[in-house]
Amino acid sequence: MQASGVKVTDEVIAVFNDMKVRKAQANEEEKKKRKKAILFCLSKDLKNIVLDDGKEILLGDLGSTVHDPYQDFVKMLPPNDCRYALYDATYETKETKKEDLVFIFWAPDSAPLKSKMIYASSKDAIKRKFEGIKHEWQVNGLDDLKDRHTLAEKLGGSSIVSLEGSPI
Amino acid sequence: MLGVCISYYGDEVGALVFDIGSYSVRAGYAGEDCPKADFPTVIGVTLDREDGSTPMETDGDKGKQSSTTYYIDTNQLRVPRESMEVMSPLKNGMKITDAELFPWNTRAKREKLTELMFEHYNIPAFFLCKSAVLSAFANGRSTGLVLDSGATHTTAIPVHDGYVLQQGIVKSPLAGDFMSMQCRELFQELSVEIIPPYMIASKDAVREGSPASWKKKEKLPQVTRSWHNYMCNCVIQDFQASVLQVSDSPYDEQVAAQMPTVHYELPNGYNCDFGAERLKIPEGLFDPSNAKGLSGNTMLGVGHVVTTSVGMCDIDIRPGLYGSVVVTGGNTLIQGFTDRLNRELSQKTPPSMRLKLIANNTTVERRFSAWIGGSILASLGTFQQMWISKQEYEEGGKQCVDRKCP
Repeated sequence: MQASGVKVTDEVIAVFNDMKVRKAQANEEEKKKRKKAILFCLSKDLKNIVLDDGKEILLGDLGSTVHDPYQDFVKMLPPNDCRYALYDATYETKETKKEDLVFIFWAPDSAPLKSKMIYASSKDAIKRKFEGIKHEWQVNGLDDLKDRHTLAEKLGGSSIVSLEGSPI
Repeated sequence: MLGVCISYYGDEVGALVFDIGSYSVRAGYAGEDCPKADFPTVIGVTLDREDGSTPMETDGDKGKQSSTTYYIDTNQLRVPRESMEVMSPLKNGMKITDAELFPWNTRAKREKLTELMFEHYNIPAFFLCKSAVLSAFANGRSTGLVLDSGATHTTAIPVHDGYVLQQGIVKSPLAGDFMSMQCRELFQELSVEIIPPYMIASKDAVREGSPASWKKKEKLPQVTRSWHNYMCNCVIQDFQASVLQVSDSPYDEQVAAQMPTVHYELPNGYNCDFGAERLKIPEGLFDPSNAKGLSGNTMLGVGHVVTTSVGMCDIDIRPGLYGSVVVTGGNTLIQGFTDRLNRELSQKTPPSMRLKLIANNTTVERRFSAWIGGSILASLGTFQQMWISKQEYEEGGKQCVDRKCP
């Protein structure tokens, strides 16, 4: 495939590994620091994929500063530029409650062509580092992004009854 | 197919990006916003003799040295010259190197092109990209269905995660050249002769629909049939681009009769108001069943080209393909093309299927999206490690293109 040659930094891989593993024995302090959502972007020199400074939502924020984690996540994304993201979705089907990581490729139609080109051709590089991700979402418009139904469909189709505590 | 090569220009080393289509070649420098050169994919060829005379068919004398002169780009091509033949490297084969490079996307052809680049042109580095993937990326998609309608073909190419799904590619010959053919037929029916500008010394204003009144230029060189046909095609293509419109729903004679007319004048002064024909001709792209000159009903309309292609792919990825249908190619610029395609696809897909067409509204992006994608890629610092270098070619042979440019 047409890869751009862009590399993924170790800190990005570390963040992914932390989010992937749910340590059952984690204490309250550790649990609070776990990330609910985080954004990744291209470094200024366009050579690496790095963490997008400050663009994250911690589990500990839920309930205090963050009441609708999905909406807050949507607000973090730049409306006219591309990003990659990991979102730890909590959802319920009729039978059970689940948590799954979703890899999101955000490329709004209004973003500059250069940005779309670089992010699209580098997506394979970052995706490869995120082993075991079950859900990937390519989203190109704010309408699609804001609609919780779209995310729910991605996660489990019609069997999803609620997402982040709110019914679908 | 889109090639990129490192080259030396002046004191600098830079990358050249070229995208060769059957209608035009887009070429330019990596890092720029659009191709510097956009010229027809045809070459004017004359065989000149050393003494300045041009060989005639009747000449039996093969002893004299003859060299070939090539003319490219519209400024050179459109000058009437004696015995200049018009050839298309993609259709007739590139006689310069005796290599036939059409169609592109077989392994043998890609290897041949690589060999040509290193052996004949002596470039330091080379890379070959798939235009469909570049078009998808340039639109922010790594997964999508690329619909490319150009001069010779309308093709649907499914791209998934940056890979072309070869088994899903669907090609139809109903494209720009087919439209040109239908336009020619229309003029034949109207008993109107196509006279290119190079023949016209002067013309009189005539009433709408009346026969043309014009004077032929004196002292015209003896031009070849191929060149004359090429110049006539240019006239037809202008008509095609200005007058045709795709109906937003299947062609209906009564609706078409209400269509606002467009006035068009040919170079020789013949002018006419075109109404229903504006819709009738391009209908053949979407519904070939009634189009003239097609044998049987085996051709696929544009809508079917897309649905067939998606249908050949795994059922799980189909929503991703329908959700990102990238429309590219000069033929898609016909007024009404994308609206009609949208309608066709929404009717042919289940109601639950999310359908989204991405059709850049600027001509530049629609025709050049693959080139622009290649330009950006080739200018990235990180991409420099991806090239096939001359050394790699010398060590690994032309097969390294299969490995390095999948």
